[in-house]
Amino acid sequence: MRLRTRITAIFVLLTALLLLGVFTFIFLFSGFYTQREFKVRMEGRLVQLATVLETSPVLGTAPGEEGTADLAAYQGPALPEEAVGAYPIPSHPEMAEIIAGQGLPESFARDLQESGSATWEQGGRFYRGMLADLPGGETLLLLSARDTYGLNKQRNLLNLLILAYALSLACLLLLGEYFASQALNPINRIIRKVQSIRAGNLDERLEVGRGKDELAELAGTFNNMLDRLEIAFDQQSRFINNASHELRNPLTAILGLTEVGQTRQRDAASYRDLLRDIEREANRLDHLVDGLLQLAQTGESGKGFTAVPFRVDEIAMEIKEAMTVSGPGERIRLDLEQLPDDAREITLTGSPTLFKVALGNIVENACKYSGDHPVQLRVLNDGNDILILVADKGVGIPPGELTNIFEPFYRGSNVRSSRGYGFGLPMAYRIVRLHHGDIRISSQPGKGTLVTIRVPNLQGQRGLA
Amino acid sequence: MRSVLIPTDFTPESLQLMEYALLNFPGEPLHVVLVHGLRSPDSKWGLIQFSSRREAKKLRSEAFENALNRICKTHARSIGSVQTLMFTGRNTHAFKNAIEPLGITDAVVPENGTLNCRNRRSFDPTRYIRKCVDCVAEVPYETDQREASRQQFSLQNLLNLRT
Repeated sequence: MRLRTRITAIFVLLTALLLLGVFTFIFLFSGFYTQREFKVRMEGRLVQLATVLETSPVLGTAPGEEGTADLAAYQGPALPEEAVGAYPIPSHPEMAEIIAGQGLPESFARDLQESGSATWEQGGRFYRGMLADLPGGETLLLLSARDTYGLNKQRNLLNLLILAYALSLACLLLLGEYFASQALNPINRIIRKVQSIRAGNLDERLEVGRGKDELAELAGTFNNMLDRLEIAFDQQSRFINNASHELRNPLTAILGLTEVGQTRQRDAASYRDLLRDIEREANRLDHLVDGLLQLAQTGESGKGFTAVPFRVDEIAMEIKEAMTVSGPGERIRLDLEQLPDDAREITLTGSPTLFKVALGNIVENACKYSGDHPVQLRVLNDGNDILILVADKGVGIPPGELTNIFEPFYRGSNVRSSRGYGFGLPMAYRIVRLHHGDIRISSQPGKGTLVTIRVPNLQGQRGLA
Repeated sequence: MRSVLIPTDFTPESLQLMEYALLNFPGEPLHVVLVHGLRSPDSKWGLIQFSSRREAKKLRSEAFENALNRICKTHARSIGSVQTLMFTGRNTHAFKNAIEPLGITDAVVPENGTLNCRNRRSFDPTRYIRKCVDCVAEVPYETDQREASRQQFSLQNLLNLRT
């Protein structure tokens, strides 16, 4: 069932039930008041009869004998199908006989004895009895009539209510349909707009409008999602461009070198040189493909790595040692003076191999782009986090490029002459994210770069779990 | 100790400028002066009641305090002291007078973006810093530029309706 139909149906059903309740209430109370009014009128007629009999008491004398009073004075507007009777009653058992003779139940006689008056209704005919103390003795006055007017009134009211109910239902259906379509129109517009957005027009956005309702929120949420999609598409497109460019360079070089080798006959030394050049370019290609594979393996899912506890300061020392062997490690100033007493505060659970790759990439970048300046590597604890600071006084990152440095293959505009592939920081970023950490970079061209890595320690990781 | 002036809007993001101060002035302890612009009250009663220390306390959120403590702890050797200055003046002379006793020699300000002052009476003192301090380092400042720009040019901001 469509949402519009469902909203209309629920609206109509609820309102119809409410209306039915109200109309039933009106009908029942109207009947109750009509009956009460009729009984009051019967009471009035009986009082009038008692007054007449008090002034001209012409009644039967035998017990249970029906009297014949001169009812000339008993005039006025009679009730529909009215019948009256006055019965002198010497004793109560005889009264019960009279009442039973009229076809009235015992409860009628009991009510009369207890309260002096009683009412009974049978087949639309009302009976009213009253005990009156007349000059001839205690007399039972009985009046019966049919409430024809009241019944007609109730019947008319019922017809009116049924008609009103039917008309209301029809109106409710139309109004419900109209308002449901009005309410759902913005959603339909959003659906049409979202359906029209393809990869080619990802820059288009939904109209949020000025309202602050749920629909504006929905449109805003879609727009945010489109923002993220657009960024992801851009990133992917840039990644493909950069990757193709980087992969094509060594391939072009290899093809060029093989072409040069085939143009004419050369001596063995020249061929060896050519093969060495081809090997160098092939190694470069191999390195690139390795890097791509590693990048793919360090996806956000973190599948496939075994988490073990390890100390970050030890990783930092290993990196310094490894880099000392390869060259630039001498310039690394490892600062572990602010280490906490408790080793658990600088211990985290994760992959030490991956973390070493991440931190190694950052330190290597710092060394590579800071010339002969020292690189400071500090490890310290901050509550539930471990902070690793890598500060250099190198070339820095140009403003506006800070947001792109975690994209694969992206290289700062001021370091393109240096050797590199743009894998280091993206991989480091992914690895740190895998360890529920965060990297922040403050950098200024010519002044240097400060990289702050924040990862939760054992206690912090327990809190995250 | 070198005194460095840094504008702040009392958000943790604005403390990035402190890290840039450390980059710009390495190797010596810094006396960091965080300056925040605040319009003084218009009424006499407001002026009598005005206390810049109390206003600063009101504006400093818990997140800001935590971030400041964290930076001070992380760079304990480089940051000698941190002071907050509430600037309530309206012109360059007043600003010069305010910073003169502090012996400010340098300043670090956001390069393109502006600080995101959410308080109705707050303003960004960056333009005064640019005019009054001799050595001003302009650094990239990462913030939600769209939000800052939206707030900066909003009707609410123009009519000074923000709370």
